[in-house]
Amino acid sequence: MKKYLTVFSVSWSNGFVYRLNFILWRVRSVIVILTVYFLWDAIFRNGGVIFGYDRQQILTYVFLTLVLRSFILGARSMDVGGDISDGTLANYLLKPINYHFFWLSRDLADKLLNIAFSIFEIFFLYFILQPPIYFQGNVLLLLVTVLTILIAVFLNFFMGFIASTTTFWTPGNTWGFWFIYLIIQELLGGVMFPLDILPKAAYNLLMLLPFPYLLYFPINLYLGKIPPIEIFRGLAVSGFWVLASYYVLVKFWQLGLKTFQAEGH
Amino acid sequence: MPTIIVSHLSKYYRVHQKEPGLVGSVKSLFARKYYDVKAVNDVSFEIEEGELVGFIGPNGAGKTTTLKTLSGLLYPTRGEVSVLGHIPWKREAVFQKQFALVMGQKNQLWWDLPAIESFILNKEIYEVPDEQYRMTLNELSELLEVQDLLKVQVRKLSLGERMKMELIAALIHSPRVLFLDEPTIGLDVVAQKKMRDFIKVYNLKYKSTIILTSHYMDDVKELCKRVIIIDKGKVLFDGQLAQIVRQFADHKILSVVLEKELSRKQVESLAKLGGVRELEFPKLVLEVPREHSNKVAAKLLSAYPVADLNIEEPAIEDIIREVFTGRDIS
Repeated sequence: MKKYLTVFSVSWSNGFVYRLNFILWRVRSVIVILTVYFLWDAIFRNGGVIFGYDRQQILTYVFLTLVLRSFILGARSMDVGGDISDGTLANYLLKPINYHFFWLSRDLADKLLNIAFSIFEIFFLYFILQPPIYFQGNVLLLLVTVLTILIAVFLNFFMGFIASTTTFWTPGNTWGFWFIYLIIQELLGGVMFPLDILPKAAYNLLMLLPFPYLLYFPINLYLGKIPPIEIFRGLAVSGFWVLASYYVLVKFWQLGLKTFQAEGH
Repeated sequence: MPTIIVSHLSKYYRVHQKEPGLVGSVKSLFARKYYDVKAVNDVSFEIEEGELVGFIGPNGAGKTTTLKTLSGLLYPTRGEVSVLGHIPWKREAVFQKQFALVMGQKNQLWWDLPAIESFILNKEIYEVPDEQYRMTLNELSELLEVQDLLKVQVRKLSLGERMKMELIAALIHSPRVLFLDEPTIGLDVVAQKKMRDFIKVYNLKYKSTIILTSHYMDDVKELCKRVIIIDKGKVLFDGQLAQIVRQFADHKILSVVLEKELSRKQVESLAKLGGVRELEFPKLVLEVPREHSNKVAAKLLSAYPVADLNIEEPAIEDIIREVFTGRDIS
């Protein structure tokens, strides 16, 4: 266990090495937040309810997407494909360390770093925008929301890792599947728009896939827009996908290692 | 039991062939021709504890592939391997804690952090006790003279300094078996010499078993008593370095000091005696078949103005070079 804590802390110090780079990255995320926020703010300027969301709900949705997005979807482990492709993976295969836990530790370190900075930004943004944020008072619902966020973190980790693992068979193409995965995240994960604006049939089908549980589901839980029965169903479906993606990852990984040639070494 | 046992090891890679140009690229999208490259083909050897063995051969001979298989990075196509009684590609932690692979062309250090951070990480990964870690680190950094550089960002180090740090990172868990793949590549002569001295001391002091590959004959000559020569995936020679000459050299070298310049006729008739390697008054060097060396020497003494004559064995470097340039010596 201690080795992974050390990975965590080394990863953290690595993140701090390039301060300017890091600050610029944060500035970028603030600009993105402002852009999307003002867009939706303009749409709802005249009040009313669109697609079942009023101004307060949609602005809270947008605000939460932007905050949670870097926490849930941000992942260092997208570098795994590069490791496989240029043979750096060999360094880890030689050592008594679990490569998946290694990256999980690095991801968590990264996420924590992001959270630490997000807190400042959130206060900052909250004071300039004064958004009409919806506060959820139901403690139980808040707890379930936290649980679904954790599920989302692992689900994203496993699925992203599967995308990277394909590099074993398409060396050099380290980004191809990641890009597809990123687009799917944005579209089907609820980053671009809340998924319940889709037709009912499409929506129901979508809720059987893993993607809505990345962002859309936790946020709408917080907003209190999901009926109890669907909460249970959602937990079951996302729980299933966590296990399934983990299983696929392990299988893919074992197969991939057989083809791995530690090139460039 | 020997520390390393390799028995009939083969490793084939499947690669696809692409015809040149755009047409070839498009074709290769649809129908790919695959063929097997026999990187390692039926290789067997054993290495005892504490041995320092040189592994030499031209580029693409199969050295690195063999080392990768011994380290558990590759699954062999055929054959068996045992290192310290373990099957490497099972990648058991007990095994991994006892060996290290250092590659001169690759690094494991965190580029943006001081080397000491990578050492600490390795200490935890290999679960090295605090006391042992401190001792090992002190000793290694002293031997390699890098105590002052431990806290400098790796990217700011010179290649030689970085290579030393790589070695420390690889040795922090005091491995019993060490694979060194081109550890001196790209280093200047002074740094090469330092590295060599270190390897020698390390081998003697810790009785660790070491396999070393290098393109520099000096490395091998100075460090290894025993060498394994491998080419095209096959072992050509496995034995004492000194034996290479006896086994492979089919010729001897006659080096002559002449009393006066040779006439044109004399020069022309030299070719009948053997291969002229060098002729620049007063020096003449001939390469002659081993079995004729005495006869040729006698002839030279009688028919040429010879001041001095020596019959020598060819240099190891020359023999190895012949192996490397593809002359069939088996």
